[in-house]
Amino acid sequence: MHSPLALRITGLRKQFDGTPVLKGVDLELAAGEVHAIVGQNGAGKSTLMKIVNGLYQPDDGRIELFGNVAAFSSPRDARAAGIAMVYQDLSLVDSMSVAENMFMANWTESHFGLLDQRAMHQRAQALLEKMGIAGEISPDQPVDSLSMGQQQFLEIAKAIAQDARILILDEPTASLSNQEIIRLFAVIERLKAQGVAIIYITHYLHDIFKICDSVSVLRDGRCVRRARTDQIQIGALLADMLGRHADSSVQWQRPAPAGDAKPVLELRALTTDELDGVSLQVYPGQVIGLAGLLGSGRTEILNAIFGLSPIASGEILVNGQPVRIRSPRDAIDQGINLVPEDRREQGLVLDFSVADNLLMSSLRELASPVLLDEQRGNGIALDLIRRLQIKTSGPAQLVRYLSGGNQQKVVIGKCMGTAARILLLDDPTFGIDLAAKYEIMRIVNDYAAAGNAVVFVSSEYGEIASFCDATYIVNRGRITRHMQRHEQSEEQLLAAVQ
Amino acid sequence: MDIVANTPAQPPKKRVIPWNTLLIYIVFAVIFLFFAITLHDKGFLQPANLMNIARQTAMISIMAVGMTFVLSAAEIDLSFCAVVALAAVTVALLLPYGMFIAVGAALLVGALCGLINGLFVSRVGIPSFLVTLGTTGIITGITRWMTGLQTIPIDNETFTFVFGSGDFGPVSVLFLWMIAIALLGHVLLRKTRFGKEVLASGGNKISAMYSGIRVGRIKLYVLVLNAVLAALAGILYAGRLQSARYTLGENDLMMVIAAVIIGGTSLFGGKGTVAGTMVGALIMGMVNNGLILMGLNIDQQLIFRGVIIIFSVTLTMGHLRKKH
Repeated sequence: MHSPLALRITGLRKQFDGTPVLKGVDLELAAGEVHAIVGQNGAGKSTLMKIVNGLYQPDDGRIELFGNVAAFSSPRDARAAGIAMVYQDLSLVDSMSVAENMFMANWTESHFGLLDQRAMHQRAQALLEKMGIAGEISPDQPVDSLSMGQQQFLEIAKAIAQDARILILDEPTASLSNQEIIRLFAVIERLKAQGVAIIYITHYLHDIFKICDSVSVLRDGRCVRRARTDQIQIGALLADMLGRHADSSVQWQRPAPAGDAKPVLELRALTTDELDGVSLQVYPGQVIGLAGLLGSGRTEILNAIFGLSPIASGEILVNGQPVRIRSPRDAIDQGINLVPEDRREQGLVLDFSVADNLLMSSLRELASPVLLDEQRGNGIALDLIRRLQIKTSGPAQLVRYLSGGNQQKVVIGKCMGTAARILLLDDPTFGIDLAAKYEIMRIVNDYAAAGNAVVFVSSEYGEIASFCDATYIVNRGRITRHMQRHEQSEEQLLAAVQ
Repeated sequence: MDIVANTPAQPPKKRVIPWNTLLIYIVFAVIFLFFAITLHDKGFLQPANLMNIARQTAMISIMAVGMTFVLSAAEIDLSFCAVVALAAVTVALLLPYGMFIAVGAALLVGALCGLINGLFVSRVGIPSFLVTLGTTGIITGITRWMTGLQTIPIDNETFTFVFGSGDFGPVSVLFLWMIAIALLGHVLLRKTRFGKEVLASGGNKISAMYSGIRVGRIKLYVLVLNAVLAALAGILYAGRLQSARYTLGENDLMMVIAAVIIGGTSLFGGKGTVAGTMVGALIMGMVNNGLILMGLNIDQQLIFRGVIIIFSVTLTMGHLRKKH
């Protein structure tokens, strides 16, 4: 590298509760370089970025910024040193203008302490021109009139407005259309030419070859490869991401569905705002995987089945009968239940007890006819706690104080507690420790083995490969492939979702 | 076994002490003792005075039971005070046509007000604060127009006995109404599907929706329930005062909401008990009574009452401030 190093990280270590997450990571980033960081979930990417961004402090290791050792105790420190992170979920104030959002942290004031609207307008205009997007975004426009892509640009502009010299982009293309991605890349090119160093985190490997100069692969808390993108192939990246790990994954056995079995759940050309003609079939006793990148439409398929998004055309069939599902209540009445993506926001009432959460979907069955049958409810709750091995001090404990894995078990227990015969699971093992992960798989496996149907979304392809009887690949709202069990390996799934 | 990192470490919570439920009894005891000692010579502890407190608290607590449901569902209703006056006036005007017709009509009018609030909240999606702010004006206007700002006298003795003025020995009929509504409210909130769904909708409306709870309907029902209870309070005011006037209930907003919050119901939904609300209401009634016995004039009473409300809420809401 000819240019000076913007960021050099050596031997970075970090552990949580005695579990090492980063085991000595090295990273180099030059000014004007776009550097990709890739890795499986749990490889340590987000922990690394949170350290660079000042949110976590490393246990050991060294961070140098433009040749000087740096230590941040908060994101504010990192900002002041010129590091800015653009998160996946945008942090803009919808009701304010582009210029106001841009200068939220450093208003321009006139002599009397009033905001100098004209100066802010001019600075914003200059910045937008510098980024090459002045043509489509004007400083006075309210943020809620911008598209997702334009909001992403504004986030970047906001970081640049605060003199960021190192920009971290976390999955920047996940919610963008193809057109917007092309424009985003143009903006990145411009910033690069102006000497901004960019860390680009993504699961979309093809994008890396379009926009990044170099790439680091993280695996299991270490940086296992650093290469220039013109000197490496996508296959080598995939191999590095997966490692040679001598497949420790468990083989899950379930009885094969009877030859004359009819699908429990079938989608025929289901189309919504986000989905385009999705068809699939789930037989009793089967676990069907949906594999796709973030934003591919895998969650949207589950949501459509669960009555959360209006169906434009196509059909949902339960036991061969077309059904109308317009709300979660309708879906539950049809024997369908969903374990949502975000257990804390969508699955639980944190200030409710374990028992109250477990019974939240079954209140209708427990009302007999007016008063709740507390004895029966308590029995059901205790039974679920025992069967799912939920670690809790008792049914009356508040769910807030359970670990992530046990909270997830409560959500699954809640869904199974209804007479659900079809269970939709949206990334149920995300952010959960390995032991709990295994137990959750076992619970779902037993549930399917009892003749129920499961649709399983996961961002871990190894999990899908070893767990599912068949897998549908989802990409930009469509099913692009249907893989049978013998075809699906982690490598093939990873390649297929691209 | 190897453990993946991004599970946040959960602090090992050994025992959750329900401070908010305990504190309210302490507040109650402190205020009670304070008045019992300072007002000893003015008969604060006399049975007749204690029944007086119950009588003065009855309407507040009946409205507070309804408000407990509304706040538990993370909504608010400002219009119930206006419903109190409308129902009182309705019952007074219709009594010549028979007691049952009059009372039924007054409750129905209350339910209608709640239905209008509820439909705008659940169907149109307007925040309940704004809807009920608007309907307050409308309802008050209608009441004033119906009565021409006159007080309507009531001379139906059966009505006034049953709905407010009667006594069974030393026990006021108002006290019985209060106990009945409190028990019903307690059972409804704790022991029925509806109560659980109210708390779930207020605790996390997204999770509630994913669990198959029709959150919109729940919000509509709590607003109807609250308005019906406000109408009942209005009827009881009419029975006790043996007349109805458009100003009835206009000072109750602060007292009712304060009683519910002091009682441990969360302003942000998901938490609430009728028992706590009843203690909160008793604190309010006791303070009123004590301040009058102390010989304070209306201005001074208002000031003291405000101070005591803020003091009590500060104490009982301490647990909330830490979280937000």
